Amino acid sequence: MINKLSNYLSCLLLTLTASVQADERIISTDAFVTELIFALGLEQQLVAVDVTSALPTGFEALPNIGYHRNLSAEGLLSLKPSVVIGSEHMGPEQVIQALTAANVTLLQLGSAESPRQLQHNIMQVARALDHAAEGDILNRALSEKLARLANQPHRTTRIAFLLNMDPSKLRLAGRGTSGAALIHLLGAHNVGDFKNYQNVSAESLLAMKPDVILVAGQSPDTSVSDLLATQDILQYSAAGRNNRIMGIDGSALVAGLSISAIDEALRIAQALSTQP
Amino acid sequence: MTTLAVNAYGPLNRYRLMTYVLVALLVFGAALSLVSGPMDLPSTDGILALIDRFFGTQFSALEHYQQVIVLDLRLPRLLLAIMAGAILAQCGAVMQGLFRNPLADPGIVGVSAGAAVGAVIAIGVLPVGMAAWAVPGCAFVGGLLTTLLVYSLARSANGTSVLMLLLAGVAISAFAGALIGFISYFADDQKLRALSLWQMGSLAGASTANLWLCCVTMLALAFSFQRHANALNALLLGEPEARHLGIQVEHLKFKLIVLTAIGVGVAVASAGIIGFVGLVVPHLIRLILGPNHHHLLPLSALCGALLLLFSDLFARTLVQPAELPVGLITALLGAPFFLALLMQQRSKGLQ
Repeated sequence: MINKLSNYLSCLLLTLTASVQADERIISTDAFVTELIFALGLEQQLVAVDVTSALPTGFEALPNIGYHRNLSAEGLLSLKPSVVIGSEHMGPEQVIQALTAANVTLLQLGSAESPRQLQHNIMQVARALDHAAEGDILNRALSEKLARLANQPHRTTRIAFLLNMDPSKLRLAGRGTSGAALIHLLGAHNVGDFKNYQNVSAESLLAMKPDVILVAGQSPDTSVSDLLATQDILQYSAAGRNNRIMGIDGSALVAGLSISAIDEALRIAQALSTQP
Repeated sequence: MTTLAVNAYGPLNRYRLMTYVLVALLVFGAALSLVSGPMDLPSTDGILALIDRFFGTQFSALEHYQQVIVLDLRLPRLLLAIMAGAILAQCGAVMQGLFRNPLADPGIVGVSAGAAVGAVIAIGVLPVGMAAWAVPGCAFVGGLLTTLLVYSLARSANGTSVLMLLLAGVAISAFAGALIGFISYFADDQKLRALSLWQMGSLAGASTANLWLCCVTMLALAFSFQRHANALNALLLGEPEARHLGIQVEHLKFKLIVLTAIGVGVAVASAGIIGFVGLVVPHLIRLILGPNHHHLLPLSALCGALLLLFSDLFARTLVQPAELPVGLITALLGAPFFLALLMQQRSKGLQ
């Protein structure tokens, strides 16, 4: 299956590299791709982004094409893109067909659950946009960061990752989530032993005995105080007593692992290695 | 059989006028939908592309991908809007007539709720790869099963009680709501998003298969509903009165409920849940023309098609390059229009 997919992708890449021109009109339908376009220095060729993409100041006016599973074919084509890049979940099917019929180059990336897939995705996009050298530089910097992460393993640390858009509930990351992927990057143990995100009570969270609680809230600066305001009891957990309840930038994890997710992991790892 | 149609000169004339106006608006709306969208294409070429497709001519100057936009993106949606709108509005008219209750809509016997449960199960529980067929299939089966359940709950030795039918419909809908909530609670974030989007309705999924299905359903329903227009008119007098006029009320109820369930099931399966069309459109027509089902049914179909057509036009163009769920627009357009008409009617009544 994976073999078939990579064959297919490399075919796609071959046709891509042949047809690439100097000036592309890029539509990104994925937060990670948007981030990568900026990292590759191609932001001037970006014509639209999806609803999850975070844009730096100066680029807020870029058109928004909505949610990547619910794209409008005509809406995309009206922006006259030359390349549309996003995840494998892009859809619906009619949109993909219409883009192909209109000779728009389509690049669909596998979801980045491991750093390897992330680096693979980076190279795919970089090559498709004729910026392989820049992609290489990015990937080398990433490898160096990953090596630093591997040097600070927190194997015995139990981490709880909370996705708290609504502070009155505790939404805990289980297996197969981007929260779990981040914990895995840190080399630590995820306390959530179930699939997906689930709401848990404060009591069951305490029973899981997390050493560290990571909170992705509305804003990284206030997420910890928001959480403690409604879930005062968490202060009495091991994480609370040791001042190990930390805010994290949730937008870095919107589309699986990304460049900024690695940076976040590194920041957390460094904070953890300083004595409490 | 006695014809119960009100054959006074006034309503009939107004009926003809309304038909002409609605047909003209529908043709205009269809042409407008075909030539407008986020992509700026020359209007005449858009229409010419359609002629080219059907007559094999070469009038249109559009490039291939532009023709794809007009013929493969805009045209199927336009047709689906017309058909789904017509089906939903007719089913609404029949339900309101059958229950003699102005608040009845096709969802009242649990079709929409059941269809939603079916679709939610397909999205939330079944593997992702099956979604393309499983979602409409499960929606249809769910709608039909729920309706039959509600109907059998309301049935007793003394016949089918309309009150029981309504109450059972409400109860089953509430239960279905709980089931949907339950599945949503355990769905992951991406499935959750798909669930909520499906429940807001969209015509983007128009394909050849569901267009044919809708087309056949629409025609079959229009034909068989129209055959029961007399019986529905008689039912307006009350059930005992209809029975004395020689109408097999029980048989009629069962038949119409099943037909409605099939109609709404097909519409929901191809377009998701689109509220308000079935409730508001028959009311509009009744306010203007009176309750005669001979006129009410065909005009509801026309008006429903029109409402959904323009709603989808707005859904496609308002927030371009993205698009809105069409179910939001039908409610946004339908509710104020309906209220305005109601207020106008009331002030007329006061004079």
